[in-house]
Amino acid sequence: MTTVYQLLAFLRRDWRLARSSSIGLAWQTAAIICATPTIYYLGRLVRPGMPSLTPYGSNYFAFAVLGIAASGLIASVMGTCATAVRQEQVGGTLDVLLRTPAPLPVLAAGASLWPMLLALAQALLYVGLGAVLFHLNFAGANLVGATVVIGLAVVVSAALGLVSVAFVLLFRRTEPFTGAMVGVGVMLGGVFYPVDILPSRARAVAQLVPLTHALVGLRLALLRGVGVSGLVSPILALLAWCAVAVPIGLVVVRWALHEARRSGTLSGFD
Amino acid sequence: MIETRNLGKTYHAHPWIRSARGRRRSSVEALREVTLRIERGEVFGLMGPNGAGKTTLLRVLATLVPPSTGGACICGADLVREAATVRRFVGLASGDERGFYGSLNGHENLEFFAALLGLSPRVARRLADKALEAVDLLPVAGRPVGQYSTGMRQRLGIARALLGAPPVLLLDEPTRSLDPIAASEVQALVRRLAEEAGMTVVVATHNFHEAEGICQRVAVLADGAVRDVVPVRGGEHGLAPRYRASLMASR
Repeated sequence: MTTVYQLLAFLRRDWRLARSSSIGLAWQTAAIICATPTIYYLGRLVRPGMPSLTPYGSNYFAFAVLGIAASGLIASVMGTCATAVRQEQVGGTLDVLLRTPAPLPVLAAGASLWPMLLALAQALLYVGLGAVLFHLNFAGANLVGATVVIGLAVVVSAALGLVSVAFVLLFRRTEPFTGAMVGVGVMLGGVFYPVDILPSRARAVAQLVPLTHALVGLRLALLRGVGVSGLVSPILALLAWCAVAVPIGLVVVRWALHEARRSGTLSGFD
Repeated sequence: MIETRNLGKTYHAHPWIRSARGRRRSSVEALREVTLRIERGEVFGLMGPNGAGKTTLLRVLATLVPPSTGGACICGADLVREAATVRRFVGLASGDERGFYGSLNGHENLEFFAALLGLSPRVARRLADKALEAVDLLPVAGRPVGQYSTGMRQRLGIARALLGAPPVLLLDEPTRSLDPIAASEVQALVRRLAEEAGMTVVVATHNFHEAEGICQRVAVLADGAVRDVVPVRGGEHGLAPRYRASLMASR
């Protein structure tokens, strides 16, 4: 129960902090509400029946909405822990948290929980608005397949985010990695257009981007109803990323924390 | 209760990190062979010029900074090998104005930190109330911490350190930037905690009057080393002459 109480404490704290500055939340919601019709009307410019969209059901609006919603969620997961650590550093609460008996993984998970739930709610808002206002149809969606794919993508993103946390701990600066990774993901990962339309070299590089596999798997599961057995390729690619990113992320962040403690730069900011 | 043996700390950044930060200085020796024994219920002072190692010693005892050499035990738990246990035994309050969530009120802040001890929300609320009462902040507990005065924040910091009733309290300049009345209230609180609750208190201070008012013994630190341990109460000439003599001898 101890861990549950600690995680709940973070949720309660972040809910209270969000409530005290609800204007930011309102702006984010308004941005999503405005973006969804924009994507819909942009989608009407795209000729139906384009071969590169055929595997995903030929509907550009559905393709783009899922791409934006999922990439937003993955970007948030990647950056959330580093942002939280930076905020605690600047606020002077980082060393207070680190001298509590709460274990480090619980602190990291607790600090990321609220922003991740918020990002998930925003992704669902995109999809929900698409369904309600523009008749996106998910009747045949395979939710198990979609959950497995998005779950693996979240694990990979969180692990990559640990490298950002390490940067913040060592250099006491806002980290540059998440922005760069999101930029590469949007360009090569198939957020707004299918990867198939890219030049062959870019297509090859895109296969190294985890977002590419996450979006392929998610779209196939939600738009074509493909189950886990039909998603072997994206799932294996994401599992391979997990196998590499999780141990590296954990080792790097533990080393960074040890180094920050040793050099006396854990708290404070400059 | 607190025992340090040849405790040393050298701040030393990894060469890659140092060059990336553009810093040239390779290492700083902040503590040198500090050997101290502080008894249960004692209020022990740390005095010394700026940079003498007082804050580093407190941070080492609070497990925020690992020692480079030597070791220490707090309530029988080893500082390095049993750091998680030591964290349950120690409460640290620093004179830092930051360290709270300004848009949350005092009670919400303390409730959060109490819950991180692994307590249920109900118990955390009760502990927060108790700690706020101990530092006379209960009447303003519902006010956002961003609106607190410096003195109120100092007392809130002490209240946070008291959550979970740790047997050891570490205070880093607890009356820094406080007016004389607020300072005397904090000093009275420290005395009460030691006398009534039997807490062991280690206070870093620059203030002779404060040290004489609350401490039984004071360690004089200079350049990271303990130069002298001075019994405060019962001394003939007060603390200041002995402190100056210790510093002069160290030069």
